[in-house]
Amino acid sequence: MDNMYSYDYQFRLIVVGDSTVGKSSLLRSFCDGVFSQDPDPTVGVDFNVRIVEVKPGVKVKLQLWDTAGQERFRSITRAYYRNSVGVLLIYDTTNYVSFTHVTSWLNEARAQIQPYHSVFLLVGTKIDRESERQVTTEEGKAFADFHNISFIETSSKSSLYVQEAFTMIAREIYDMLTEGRIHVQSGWDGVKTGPKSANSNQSQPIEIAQNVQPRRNGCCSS
Amino acid sequence: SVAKEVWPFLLHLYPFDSTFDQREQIRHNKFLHYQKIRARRETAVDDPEQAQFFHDVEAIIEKDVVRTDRSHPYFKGDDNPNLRVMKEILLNYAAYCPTMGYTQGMSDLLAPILTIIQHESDAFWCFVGLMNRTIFISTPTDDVMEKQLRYLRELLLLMSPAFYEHCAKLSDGLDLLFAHRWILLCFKREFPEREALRMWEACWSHYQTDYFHLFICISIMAVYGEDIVQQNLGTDDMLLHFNSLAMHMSGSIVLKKARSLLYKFRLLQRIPCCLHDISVLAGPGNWDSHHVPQVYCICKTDQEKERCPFSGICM
Repeated sequence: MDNMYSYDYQFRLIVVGDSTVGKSSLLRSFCDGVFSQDPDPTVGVDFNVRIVEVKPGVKVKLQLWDTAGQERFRSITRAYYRNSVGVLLIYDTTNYVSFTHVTSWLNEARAQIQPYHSVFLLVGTKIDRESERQVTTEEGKAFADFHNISFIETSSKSSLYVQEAFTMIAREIYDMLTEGRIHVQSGWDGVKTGPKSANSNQSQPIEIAQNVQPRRNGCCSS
Repeated sequence: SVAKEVWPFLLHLYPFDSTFDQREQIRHNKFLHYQKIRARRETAVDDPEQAQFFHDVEAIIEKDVVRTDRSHPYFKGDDNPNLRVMKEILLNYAAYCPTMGYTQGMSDLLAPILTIIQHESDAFWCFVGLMNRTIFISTPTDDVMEKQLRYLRELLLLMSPAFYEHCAKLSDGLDLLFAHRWILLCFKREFPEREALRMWEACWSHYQTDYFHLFICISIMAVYGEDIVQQNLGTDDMLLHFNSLAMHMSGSIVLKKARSLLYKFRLLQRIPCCLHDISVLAGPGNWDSHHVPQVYCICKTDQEKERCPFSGICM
C-alpha cells in the first residue's frame, strides 16, 4: 500500500548557517510551498518533514532540523549534529559575510559529526535579488569544489531550485547508502529504514540489535 | 489597559507599596538614568574595542527587529517608528548589561512589553526587570538553561511519572527538546498572545513558587502528552507532536491544570533536595498555612552529596 506514511528510508538532515541567511524560509518553501517575508527568528529547534523520491519507487522521508543561527546551547546542538546524515550549509548570496562564515560552520559540523559519515551541500540563497548579489556563483562553486562537496543556488521566494537542493542531497546520501559507505546503525538516527521495508533485509541491523539485548540479562549491568 | 498600570509593578520598576508621587519620582529618575545609558553608548565609539562590540550587537539586533511580531498592529508596516524604539532599547540594554549583550529571543520578549507600556524609557526598565530579576527568563547560557531543565525533569518525575518514564527510556528523551522554546520564549510561540501574556503575569506574580513556568510546562505535557505515552512516540515525534500543537492549545485549560499541579506539589509530604529551591523568592507565602514538607536527598555523586545541605536524609 502506497500512502504518504510509507517510505523506504528516513534521512535526518540539519540546516546551518548565519542568522537571517534564510534557513527557515528554505525549509518552509520546500515543505509547505509558502514564503513569508519576515519569519520570526528561530529559537530552540524546529523541524519539518517531507517525503521525496530519490529514484523511481524509492521514497525517502527527510527529517529536516532547523537551527537558530545564533545557537546558544552547545550541548544541545551537539545532539542535533551527531544524529544527522546530511548538512545543508547555507549562506546568503546578497551578504558576503555570511559566505565567509561557511568555513566555520563546515568545520564545526565536521568536528561534531565524526565518527559518523555525513554528506554536505553548500546552498546559496536569495538569488531572486540578483541586483544585490555579493557572492558570485563562481565563488560558491570554487568553495564547494575545494571542500569536495556539492553546491546549488536557490530562491525560496521564487521557489527556484529549492526542490532540487533537497533532492540532490537526498540522492547523494542514498547513493552512498547503496554503495555501503553509509550504514543504518542502531543508536544513530542519521539513517533509519522506513516501515515500508520492515520485512525486507534492510531492517536486519535493527532486528539484530534487538536480538542482542536478552543476552545482557545475564550480565552484571542490570 | 490595566496591564499598562500593573506590569511596571510586576517587572520591578515600582515597589508594590509605593505611592503615586513616589512612582512619578522613580519614573523621572529612571528616565534620566536611561538617557545617561544612551549617551554613554553613543560615546563608546571612541574606544575601538567597545565600538566593535556595539557594531556586532547592532548587526544582529537589526536583523531581528525587522522580523519580530511584524504582524502585530503595533509593529506593522514599513518604516514603523516603533521598530526604531525596539532597536534603541535592545542596544541600550546591551550597553547597560554588556555581559548579557543581545541574544536571539530577546526581541521576542521585549515586543509585548513595548506594545503594553508604549513608552521607551519605561519599557526599557520593565525589560531590565524582566531580564535581570525574573527567574522565568532563562538567561542564554548553558548552565542556566541546564538548571531549568534539571528542575523540569525532577518535577516531571514527581508530578507525571508515566511521562517521565517514557522520556527516560528514549535516547535523548530527557533533553526535553520540545520544551526548550517554551522556556526560552515563555510560551510566546505556543499560545495566542493574550493567553501567553496571562501566563507571563501568572509567573511574575511568584505565587507559591518562583518557577510557575515549569508547572505550565508539566501541564502542557499532562494535557497534550497522553498520546505520546500511549502511542510510544520517539524523541523526534514528540518534538513534532508539540510543534504542531503550537497555537492550537488552550491556554486556559493549561493554566488551570498548572495551578492544580502546583496545589498538588504543595501538598506533598516530602520533596527531593533538588526541588527545595524552587520557591525561595515566593517567600513565606509558600507552605505558610500548611505543613512544611520534609526534604530528602537524591544526590548521586560524592561531589553532589558534599554540597547538598540535605545529604544523608533519605526518603
